[in-house]
Amino acid sequence: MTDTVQTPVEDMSTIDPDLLLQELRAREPQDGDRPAGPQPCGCDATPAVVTRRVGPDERAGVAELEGIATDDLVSALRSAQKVIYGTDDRLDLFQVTNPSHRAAADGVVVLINAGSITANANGTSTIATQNFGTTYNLCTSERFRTQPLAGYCSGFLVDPSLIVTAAHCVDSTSLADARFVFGFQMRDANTVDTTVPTSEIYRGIRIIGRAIGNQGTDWCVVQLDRPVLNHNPLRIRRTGQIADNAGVYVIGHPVGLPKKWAGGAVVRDNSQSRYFVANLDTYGGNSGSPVFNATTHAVEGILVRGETDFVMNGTCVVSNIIPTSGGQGEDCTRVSEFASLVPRNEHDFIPFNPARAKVIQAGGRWKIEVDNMWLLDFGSSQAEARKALSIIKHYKMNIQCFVGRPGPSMEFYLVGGQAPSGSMPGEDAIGFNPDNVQARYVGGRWKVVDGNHWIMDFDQSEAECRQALSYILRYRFRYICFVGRPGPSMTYFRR
Amino acid sequence: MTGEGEAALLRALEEAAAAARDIDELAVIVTAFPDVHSVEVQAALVKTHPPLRELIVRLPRRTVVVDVAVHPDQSLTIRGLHNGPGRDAADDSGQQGT
Repeated sequence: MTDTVQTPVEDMSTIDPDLLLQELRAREPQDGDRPAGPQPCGCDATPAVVTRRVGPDERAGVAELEGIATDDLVSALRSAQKVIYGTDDRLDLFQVTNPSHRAAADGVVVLINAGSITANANGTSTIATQNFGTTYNLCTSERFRTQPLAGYCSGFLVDPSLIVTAAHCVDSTSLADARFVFGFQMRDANTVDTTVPTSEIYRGIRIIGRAIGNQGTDWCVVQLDRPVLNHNPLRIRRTGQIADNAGVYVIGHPVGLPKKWAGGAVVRDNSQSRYFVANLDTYGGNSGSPVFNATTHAVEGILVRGETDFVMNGTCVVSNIIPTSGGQGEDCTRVSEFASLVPRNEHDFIPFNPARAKVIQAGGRWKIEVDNMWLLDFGSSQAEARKALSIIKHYKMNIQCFVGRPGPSMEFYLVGGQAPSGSMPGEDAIGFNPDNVQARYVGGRWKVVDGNHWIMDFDQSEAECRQALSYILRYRFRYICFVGRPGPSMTYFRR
Repeated sequence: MTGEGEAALLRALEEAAAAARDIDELAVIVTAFPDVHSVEVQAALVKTHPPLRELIVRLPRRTVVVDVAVHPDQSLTIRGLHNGPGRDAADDSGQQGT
């Protein structure tokens, strides 16, 4: 007798496709519970059979299908409906519990056209939205179908004044209409923040760098109209590249929806120098989203392109979800493409008590000392030492800051974490416009310039130049001040 | 291509996009444009919202990428042009590294 072994797909050919989909939806993981990266078996991150989990707004699975492998369910559904399905890893931010993932989400913005935002009288602004389900004629099985759509791209903060997004999202013409908005997210399953504080909405005033090419390059670095001080810049990879098969996750605004997290993905193709390919669950609107290393939580790439999002399923539209190992994958421009434009922000700050600062003479040199620590050296100039001390005490400076020690290329002082403000009689101060300053390579040297005149010279150090600019923008410095020009013995900045 | 020539191409593309039922039909229409050597539809979707499909249009002296927005109702509009394969557009805005 010959046994006939039926494939699971054949076994399930008579099952209602909606039940297959229902079971797949019930298997979608919660935040961080799907293992990222290759498994000990060498297979991908999708286990053959996963534990059923039912989210707060999800339907339960189908008991008769519980013992069937996820891949077999996908195959059966594909056979029944002529499209490919798998599990959907996206979560709303309120469902994300991993502290590292939540911290990463804090630096992610949605890009919205200025015309879709209305300022209210109470310091808030309202975002015009469309209903996701209605706009796309979604089938009832689609997740998030009752949520609003607003944005056209995603982006992320890499420095208090710099946002990174995809080059496809912004160019020098469209920048004026772009708004970079923090906080467009679901507060809970039923409440969305479509009215946000106006302070959470930023304009771009300048494109610092932008590249779009035929080798996967697709990035844009935008300088904002003012520094972002209530959200933390995201950490980006500085050297090397992500490992093959490394776990990754993405945070952004798929289809312009409120902010979503999606994990359970790995680097599938790491062979290209300018981009890598991952099996992330992303949609139009995710362009510009940061793609994070699941282990280090550093940004590794920018989501730029990938699979088709939606397909017709009879009379309505469903997500075109691909098996974990199928499809062409999602392309992510490597952050190494623009990392040189992003300051490292490895702060070199020294706190001191200005009340205990005093002028001393040691070894024949005049110095300012605090608690046996030398702050400044004035050589033979007692007058400059006394002038500098009076300035420190006048402004109550209590943090000394450097860029590029030893032999710092920039020195400045803060007062309780803020720029010194006010003025002082006889002060040697040169004003500049912080909205107009840029890092430029001029005459073979990196300089911070205000229009046609330069403020600081960093020779060949682009990194120090960009770090100095970052501080000027962050603290809104408006004056560079000196003691003892030329060859100043003390330089400081103030508002 | 001159600015005038690019503007004329954009206008023709916009008319073609309004008439086409899908991206493949748009590619066929554009193939019939004067001076167009070939048109290729990129498989990958550019993930803006609405998403973009890219047409690689090879002209006598230049290859351009046409960004075509695919709206939820499947209608098409032209988003713009940028340099394409054969000439790596390292800085489309002319502002890199400033």
